[in-house]
Amino acid sequence: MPDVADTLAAEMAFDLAPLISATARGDRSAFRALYDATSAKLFGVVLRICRDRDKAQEVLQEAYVKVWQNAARYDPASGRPITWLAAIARNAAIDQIRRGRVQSLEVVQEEGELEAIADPAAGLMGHADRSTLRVCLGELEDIQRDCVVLAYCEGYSREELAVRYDKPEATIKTWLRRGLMRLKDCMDRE
Amino acid sequence: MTGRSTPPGPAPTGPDDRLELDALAGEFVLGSLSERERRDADLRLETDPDFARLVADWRRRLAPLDDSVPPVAPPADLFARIEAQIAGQIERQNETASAPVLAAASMSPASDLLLRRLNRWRAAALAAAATSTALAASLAALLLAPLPETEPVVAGQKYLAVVNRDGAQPAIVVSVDIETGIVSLRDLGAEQPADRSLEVWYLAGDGSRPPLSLGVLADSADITHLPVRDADYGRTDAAIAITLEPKGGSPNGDPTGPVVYSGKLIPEPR
Repeated sequence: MPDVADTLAAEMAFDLAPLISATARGDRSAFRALYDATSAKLFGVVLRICRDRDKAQEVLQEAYVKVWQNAARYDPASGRPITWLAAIARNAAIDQIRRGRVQSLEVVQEEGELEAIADPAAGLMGHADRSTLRVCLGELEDIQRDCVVLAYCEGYSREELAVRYDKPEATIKTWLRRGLMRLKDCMDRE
Repeated sequence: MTGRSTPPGPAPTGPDDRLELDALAGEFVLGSLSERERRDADLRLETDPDFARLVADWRRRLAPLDDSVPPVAPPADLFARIEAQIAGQIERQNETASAPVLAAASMSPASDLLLRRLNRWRAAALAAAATSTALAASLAALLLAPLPETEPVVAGQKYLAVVNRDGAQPAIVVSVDIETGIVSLRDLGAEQPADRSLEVWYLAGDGSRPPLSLGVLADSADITHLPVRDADYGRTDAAIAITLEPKGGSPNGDPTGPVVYSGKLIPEPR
């Protein structure tokens, strides 16, 4: 049975860029096609950050209204269409949780999930960027990797990470930035 | 270096600053910045091409992390809700403005043009900041301002107001385009409680007319477009004020809530 992620990757293989430029011209059917091709992925991303289905729906709605409004600003030179779309959705999700989330975060994290994300053998190999990121995440110190992954995937702020690890925010900032810079050095080298 | 205006934050001059800017871009993409830093970074993203490039690089590097998320089908009716929200906005724009229907359509797809425009806005923000503290935080005080000299409205002229609270970071940039008949409001991080609306008012500055409602800021959009209403935007003391109102706007056509942001209208530098 084909992996869901692979199926999605295949769907993504057709170029989304023309759909975005048609959306920028006000083409509603292109916008619908863009939504159909990308909304499940973006909903997954948003849901993981928001953790609340109702909130995640609001965020996704907001994100696609922004896509409609800002489609003319998509610049293919700055990255792949899906990366641009995901950035809009992630931004909306982070804005949402910064507004609403209190400090006492329930840790819904399953033990092992962080490892799965960073584990090169987790079965999602094949995509060059993906494997490079995995290899390089694997080179980070555990604590740096966990902070980077929790921030990106789960929407943890420095403040929330400080609570989770019982460290000052300044320490978290240092971990995050060292982690990012090592990641960059490694990825640019690979 | 180009001659563009200096972006907010420290200018990247040396390798250390460059590293700092890169780390900031990385943390912006991670989403770990504080709310304040996030807002600053958002603004910087619009005005500083170097920073925008660093952000794009980080998005590309980290994007594979999104691939580890299983896709989840959103509810079947969500697209209808998105369309309804967009349709509502278009309808409002069409009420009086005959100009381009979509937010995107009125913007140039050329990002350098957009950047130039934003840099002009930034320059105007600095000019307006000098006067903004003089603007009182209540409509009453604004209406008591001395009688201004008026300037004729110039055809094709645009007017700008950078509205903020007590001289703090610009919250919204208001651009009045007489020619297209559109007032554009670019939200740079205005705070808007979920159960209230931000309403936009034109103030003549001398109390010669009551505050004129220009409409309500879109709930969740970076840019709101409203039709230009008949007023003397070039008046010396004309200002834009933004009040907190019940959802959907003032129930009686006059401001009922506190002024949360305000800024003086100035002719846009051509």
